[in-house]
Amino acid sequence: MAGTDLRAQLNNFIKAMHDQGILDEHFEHVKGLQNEYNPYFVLEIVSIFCRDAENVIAEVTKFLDEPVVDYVKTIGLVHQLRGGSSSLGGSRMAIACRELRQATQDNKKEECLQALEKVKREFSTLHEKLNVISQMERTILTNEGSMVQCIPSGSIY
Amino acid sequence: MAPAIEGMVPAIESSEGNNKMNKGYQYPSWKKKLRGLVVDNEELCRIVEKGIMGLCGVETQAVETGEAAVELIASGATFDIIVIDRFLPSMTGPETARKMREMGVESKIIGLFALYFEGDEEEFVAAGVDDFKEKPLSPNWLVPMLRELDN
Repeated sequence: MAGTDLRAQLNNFIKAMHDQGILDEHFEHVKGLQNEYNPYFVLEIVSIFCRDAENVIAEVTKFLDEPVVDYVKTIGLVHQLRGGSSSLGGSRMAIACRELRQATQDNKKEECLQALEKVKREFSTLHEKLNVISQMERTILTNEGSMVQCIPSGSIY
Repeated sequence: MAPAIEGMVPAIESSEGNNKMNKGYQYPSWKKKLRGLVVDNEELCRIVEKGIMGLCGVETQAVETGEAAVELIASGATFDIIVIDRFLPSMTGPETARKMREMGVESKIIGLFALYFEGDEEEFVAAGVDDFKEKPLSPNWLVPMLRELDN
């Protein structure tokens, strides 16, 4: 059946992301939080992650662009970014965030900038793959007849 | 599908108990009704941590700040396990833990780090947490602790 095929395709896609180290086992725990009471959970979590990560990366870029870098604020943002990545299961991005945090330790701007570029690359990859997952989830939900026009606010709580 | 966790039984179709059942794997049920509190300013982390605690059979509330957590406890709420992020907006994680202990809270308190480096835990430990962990909060890490609480 079409629904089963799509679900299998999605599972294979996620497995490939595991194999490439883009996602780790924690993403399975996050997926496990989706159920009939919370059918949009994965979609909403992915949306929150992508929105927040983009904003935080933009802020870190701004701070590192300053002639005098505020490393305290930068470190706080990097913690935020790593927290979100790891809580989603975005393994490679979480590792890149750790490397950026390590770079801030020595207050060496050039190293920080290089580490930030790596974070951006990993986010770009993760974002692209998560978009594919979201698209497939939406299609599956539509086929299963669960999709409604409006997602109620707070529905994932 | 969620991965198997050591000691977990295969899924059964049931709505009993205070656990969410997921197709494929059954998360634990406990003799006692376990109650948890998540204190995390980051929305995604807070949602996932609350969800994971719930999957592990803990009836969980979540708040964004140390002040909100302290207020909840001052109002009479009790918890078996409290998970506190290190970086909170005004009252830090360690400050929140310390305040809770001063209020007589005997719950298991866990300090959570988005990024952990050796030595980071000192402030949390001095504040009276029982354990600490780098995110993510995972069922594999939580369940043995919950088993102790249940006994």
